Amino acid sequence: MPFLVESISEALKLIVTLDQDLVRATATTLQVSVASTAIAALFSLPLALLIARFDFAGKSWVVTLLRTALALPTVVIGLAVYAFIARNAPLGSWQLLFTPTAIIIGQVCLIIPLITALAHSAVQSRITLIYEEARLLGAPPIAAFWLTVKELRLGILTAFLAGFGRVISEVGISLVLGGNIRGVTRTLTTAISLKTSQGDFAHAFALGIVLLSMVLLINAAIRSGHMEREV
Amino acid sequence: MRRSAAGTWNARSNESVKAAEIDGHLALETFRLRYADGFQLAIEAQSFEGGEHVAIVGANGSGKTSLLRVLAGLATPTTAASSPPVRSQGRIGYLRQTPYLFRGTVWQNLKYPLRFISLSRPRKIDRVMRMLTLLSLDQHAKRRIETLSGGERKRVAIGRALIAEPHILLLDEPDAHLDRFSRRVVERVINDSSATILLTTHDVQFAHRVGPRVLHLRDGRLTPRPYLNVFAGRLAGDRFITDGGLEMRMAGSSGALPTGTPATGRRAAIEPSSLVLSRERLKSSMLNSFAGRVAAVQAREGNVWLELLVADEHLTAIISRESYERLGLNLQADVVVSFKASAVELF
Repeated sequence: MPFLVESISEALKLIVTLDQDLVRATATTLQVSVASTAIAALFSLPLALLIARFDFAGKSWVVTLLRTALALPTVVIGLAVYAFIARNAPLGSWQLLFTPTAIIIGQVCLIIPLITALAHSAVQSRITLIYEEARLLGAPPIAAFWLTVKELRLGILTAFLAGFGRVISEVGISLVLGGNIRGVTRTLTTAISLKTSQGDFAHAFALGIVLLSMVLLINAAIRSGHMEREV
Repeated sequence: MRRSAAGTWNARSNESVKAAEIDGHLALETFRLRYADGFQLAIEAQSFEGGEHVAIVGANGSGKTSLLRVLAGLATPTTAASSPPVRSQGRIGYLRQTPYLFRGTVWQNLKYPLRFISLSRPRKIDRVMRMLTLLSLDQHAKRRIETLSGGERKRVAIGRALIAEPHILLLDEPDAHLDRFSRRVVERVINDSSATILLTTHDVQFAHRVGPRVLHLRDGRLTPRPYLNVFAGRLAGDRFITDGGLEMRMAGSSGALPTGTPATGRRAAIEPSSLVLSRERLKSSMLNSFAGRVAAVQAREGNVWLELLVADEHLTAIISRESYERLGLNLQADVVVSFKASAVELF
């Protein structure tokens, strides 16, 4: 017990004094997570809206595959991307391995199915209703589409935040594709892993507290979004 | 028929589409719409004049919503002479049975359709203000949609469907789940509109109050009308005086009606089976007895359907072939029609 108390108190000191390793890992984590969520959103949102809006052969299979992809282990995705960007791989000449870009590519692959599946679930029951309503009120297709997205924004935002929460806390992709290089590709999760293996529990706890705080903020944002919807 | 009333919502004014060219005429070709569960909507060709108000009465599952969705272009028939089977002159507005109101306030919802028509800002504001007044929502303009009652939401949805002045308005059960006040407001709005209106309802009486032409939808097929003897007229004590001059006694009096019930603009209906025909006046307990003559005779469904001319009104009576022969009736024959005061249904 004294060990735990000592470690946490040391961790809080590191946070208050803005320890450089901690700050760098936090900045790298935010940088790659925001970028990967934004890029994934560009693909996921149109995909989710198209699947929800239109009926086509094999639609239920597409949805099932998306949901199955949610269970993919992060290290498997890391390995798959590694196979493309390793030195001798097809994209090896691009020298992406062990860079933040490599982590972003892996994380985008991880959360495209997640954001698509969640956004699809959030909008599927109302997308046609809202779009048709707007069209019947005289809105041209683009205005009707824009209104539909605005009306469904909370469900869509929740899907984005869930995607962000997933990438901020993943470790497999960051480790395999980033290489845990100090100040370059070291994220909060890979740093926790390293510090724990080195026996530096105070640092590991400090990183964990920062990570948990960020996840808590995301969940608070999702919760406030749902509360607004229920009013 | 184009209705109008001073100070009401018939202002298809000069700022909107060239109304003289677009009269809201709606023509429907014969079509079928089949569902996976075996239900089939089978509609024969129909034509609706510009400004005509038509009510379609039917039970749950009779195909009312499907019919309106085809008319609105939201559903495609499985078979039709041409595709799509609807030819309309003018913009179509559609009110769903459970309308979706957008996030925001009553004002924002009413204003939304005006974004897409060419109108100056002051005129748009004026239209919204007039619609709020018409719908008795003046005090609720700034209220958010989620704080409104069901009846208020329905009124907002009707106003939003009407505000851009569509030439054709399709209303799916506009009277559903409304309290008396909201029903009265909705009736007034519908009756005052100059648009071609097709609406569906469960309520036969509501149908006759808002649609001079009433169609009946049963098992996916349209039939002429659910009530055969419906008269427009006014109340006078325990009597109902039709516009055609027929003065009939009712059970009770107008004083027994709820406070605020208007005496004019009412309808009365009499079931054809309640009519008793004779060649001479009967001595009976029936308080209503009128002399008339046979204007038309038709053998139908094993019975004889008679159209009787009484005062300036036409009554339909259905009697058996045997009764017809026993009374010695024929075209132009004099006849006495009797019925009980309690047979008069007022609405």
